[in-house]
Amino acid sequence: MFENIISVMQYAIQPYFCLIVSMGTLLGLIFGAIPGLTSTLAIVLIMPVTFGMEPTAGLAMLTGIYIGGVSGGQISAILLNMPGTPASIATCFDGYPMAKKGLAGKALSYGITASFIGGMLSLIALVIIAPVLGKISLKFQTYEYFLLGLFGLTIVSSLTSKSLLYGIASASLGLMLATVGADPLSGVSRYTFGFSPLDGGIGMLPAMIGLFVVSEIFSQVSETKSEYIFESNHMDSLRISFKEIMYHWKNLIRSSLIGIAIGILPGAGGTIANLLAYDQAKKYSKYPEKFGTGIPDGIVAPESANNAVTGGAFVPMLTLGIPGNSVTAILMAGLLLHGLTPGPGLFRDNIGVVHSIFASLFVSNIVMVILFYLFLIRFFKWALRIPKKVLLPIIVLMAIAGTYNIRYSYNDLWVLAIFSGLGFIFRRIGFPISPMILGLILGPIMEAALRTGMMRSGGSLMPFFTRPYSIGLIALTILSICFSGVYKRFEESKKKILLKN
Amino acid sequence: METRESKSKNHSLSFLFSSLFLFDIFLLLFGILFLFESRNIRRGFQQVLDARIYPRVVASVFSLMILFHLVRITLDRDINKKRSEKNKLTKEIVFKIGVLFVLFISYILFIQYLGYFESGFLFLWFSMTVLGERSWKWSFKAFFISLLIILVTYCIFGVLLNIYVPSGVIVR
Repeated sequence: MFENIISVMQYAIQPYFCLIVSMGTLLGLIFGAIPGLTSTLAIVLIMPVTFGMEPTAGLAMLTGIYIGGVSGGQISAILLNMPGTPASIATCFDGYPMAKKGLAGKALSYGITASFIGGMLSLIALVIIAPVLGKISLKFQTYEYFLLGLFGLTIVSSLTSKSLLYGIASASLGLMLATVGADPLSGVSRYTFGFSPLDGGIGMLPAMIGLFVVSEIFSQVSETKSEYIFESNHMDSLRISFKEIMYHWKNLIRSSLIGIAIGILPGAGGTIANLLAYDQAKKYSKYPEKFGTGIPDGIVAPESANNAVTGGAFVPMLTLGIPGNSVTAILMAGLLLHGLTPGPGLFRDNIGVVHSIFASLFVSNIVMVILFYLFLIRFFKWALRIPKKVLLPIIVLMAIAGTYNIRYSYNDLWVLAIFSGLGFIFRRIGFPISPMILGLILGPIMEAALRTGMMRSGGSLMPFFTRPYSIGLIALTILSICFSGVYKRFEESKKKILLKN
Repeated sequence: METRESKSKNHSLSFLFSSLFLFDIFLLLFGILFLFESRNIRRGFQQVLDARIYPRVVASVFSLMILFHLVRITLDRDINKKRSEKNKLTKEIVFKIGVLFVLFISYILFIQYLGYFESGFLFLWFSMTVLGERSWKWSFKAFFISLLIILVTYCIFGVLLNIYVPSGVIVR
């Protein structure tokens, strides 16, 4: 344990490492603050740039973007009553009324301090839980690897989509597209239709940039006319005392624990943690009637919860290879593209990478606070005025540069174009994208695990159903499907009640 | 007066041409294509599970799910109606998205001939003009904004980060 902490700190004190994490956090804060742009979008966009870096540095930058993105959402939620990311919806309820009272600076200070505490507590949870779970997962064999993938796909399909049928169809579509190209075991060509560029398979990253970034730009065209209205151009003091923060210690811990638990649950994300923490803070408050009128309690709870999700979401991704949410799914793709396989084995073979992720979470939480107080609050009041009619084409320009930079191929640009069009249609129809991406990522791993498992068992399927760990994973998969219905109903009712209030 | 029969006929026709129905049919055909094409995959060297089986199973699951969804929206047409209403876009937005997509495709097409920065400048200028208000003043303003953005992008990509992008007629 002590050795691990020293290893983490060794990363955290390297100037180059800190610089990379700071750049990532800054980018994340900017993307998170602008309504409609998310940390997912920023990570996908920047990922090709990280290929030239060491895996530890590249992943540190992406982790920084994640932390910055989650924290940045509160800026527009407080200043404009528009959550920068869906994970900051509940922050609007008390953040904006506080800004209207002329206390925008104080509201932002409460928000950022709560984000920092939530982020740090979740990091502690990650450092404690991940190695334990990592040790258990080392006992897994190919049978369990396949079932783990199946569990991940089922839970993401059922939780992230409105229709379970569409969710499973989306995951299967990802698995189907992952079979295009050479067969992982025999090298036989599949589904190339005589088109040689498909021999190498469908590029995961161009597809992701198309589905997540460019299609999002097309979806936001309808918002190009809207202009942001600031409640007040005057910024009050950002200072809050230690005593003022400590007054909310119970709320902070409760909300952070909610965030960590929801983060660990694969498929659930910051949005539900944000809303649930707000709801619980109101329930346990001595003055629930004041919620919604602009009180710090209503900012502290949602902001500590959504940042606490970050560390929690890394737990299943790093230990089991199942992403906690869409951002960690993208980060998982980043790990794979850097030649690292998350899940069982990462703790045994690449512990340095795990430590660097811990260190980047630690550094980015600190940097986030420093950047915020130094200049970002004032910077955002200017930056949020950049109209979308200027911003959206710039992102397309960056997406094209990023895609071309993966392997300097014009074919990748066509893959980007096809998936951008598809992504736009999927969004309009309501066909979920996240399960498809996860299917595309997990497809080759699952296929190889299934087929080598079958070879080991001489063609028998029994080990998939009779080994103790396999039985556990099958039970979890069935439970996740049953649970998804309850979870969705709960999420909908909470959203309705809170938005009504 | 419209009879009940003709009303239900119109309703059925509008359902058949609804976006959700057509989308499901497209996906189903895609799944069937994958299933059909799996017959042309070679088995590979001796294995318990050959190279054809796994893609065939996955394509079957996909096609089945879409088929179930198709049955569901056929039986419960309210879902289809609600989603179609939710998906409605104004003509202006459809026009903007269409033009932006054409510009995006043209950018990819011309990048290898004109270069990243040159075609990027044209893409920025035209798309900003389309997305903004229709006036000569904005178009003129967009020209200079695009020029400025391209110069900044060149400084970041070309000088600072040394990222390789397709060279063109002016910037090499």
